[in-house]
Amino acid sequence: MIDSSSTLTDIAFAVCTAFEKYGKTIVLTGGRAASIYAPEQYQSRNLDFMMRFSVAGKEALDELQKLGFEPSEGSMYKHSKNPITIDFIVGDILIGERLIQEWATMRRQAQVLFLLKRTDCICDRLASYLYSNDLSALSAAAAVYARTQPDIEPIREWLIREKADVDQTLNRLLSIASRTPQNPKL
Amino acid sequence: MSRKPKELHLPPGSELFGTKTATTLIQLVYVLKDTYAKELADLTGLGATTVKNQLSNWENTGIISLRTVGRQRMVTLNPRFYAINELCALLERMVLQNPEILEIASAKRSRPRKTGKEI
Repeated sequence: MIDSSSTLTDIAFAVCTAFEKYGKTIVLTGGRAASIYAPEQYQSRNLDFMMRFSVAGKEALDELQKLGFEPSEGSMYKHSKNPITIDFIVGDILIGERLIQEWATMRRQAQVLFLLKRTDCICDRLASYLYSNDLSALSAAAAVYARTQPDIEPIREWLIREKADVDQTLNRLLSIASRTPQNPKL
Repeated sequence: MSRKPKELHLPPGSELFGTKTATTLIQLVYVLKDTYAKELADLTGLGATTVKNQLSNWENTGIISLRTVGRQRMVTLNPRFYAINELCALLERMVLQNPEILEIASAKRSRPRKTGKEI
């Protein structure tokens, strides 16, 4: 049951599980996916889910309404007791030019959450930084990097493909990450 | 009798542009790329007059350029400054040495936001 005390993580698990029950896979992306990996770093009051199908299915939407979410503007859903909003974005999952076809799965008791893999999550935040000079997204990328310590090479290769300033971006990423607490458990 | 050396707590280079305030501001103008006086004041906690005076000094020396967009005076490093590449290289090196500047600047959200979406 979602109420005013439910956290973004609680809601992300609940919504993803509701869709999964009807065979629909939705994948958490954006800043909230980053804060799953680095909870202390990035706060957002919105959940961005990517759907690779244009019709969610009546059963899944009914399930969403059972959780207390009602349709709002565009593809967004709002809850009467909780300020957190959900946005469903239809289409392929793209990070810059790269098509994402695999994602991470987290389980919590009987619930499931699909979200970007840690390296993709870092690239997703770097995309926001590169294309909008959003330095908060760079901080989020650095926090995920510091927390999860992935191989840097796929990130470098992605930056090269995106024709980014590779050295400056990686130097900034690593410089901020060096100041962020690490968590070897993740 | 030997004099005790003055204790310095500031990181190296933190007063390179005259004062700590000026050095912080020029680094912020560099990393934000496009900013304005109020935003710089909000990010740093400095007074608006302090920020405007500093920007005015730099405009006079040609380091920054200002242009009016709507009712806002937007500030950027002056791309026609004779040593702009060297200045950017120095500022980048300073930012990497002191990434706190990137964290201060990260309080500004600059990516697009869908209408009606919560922050």
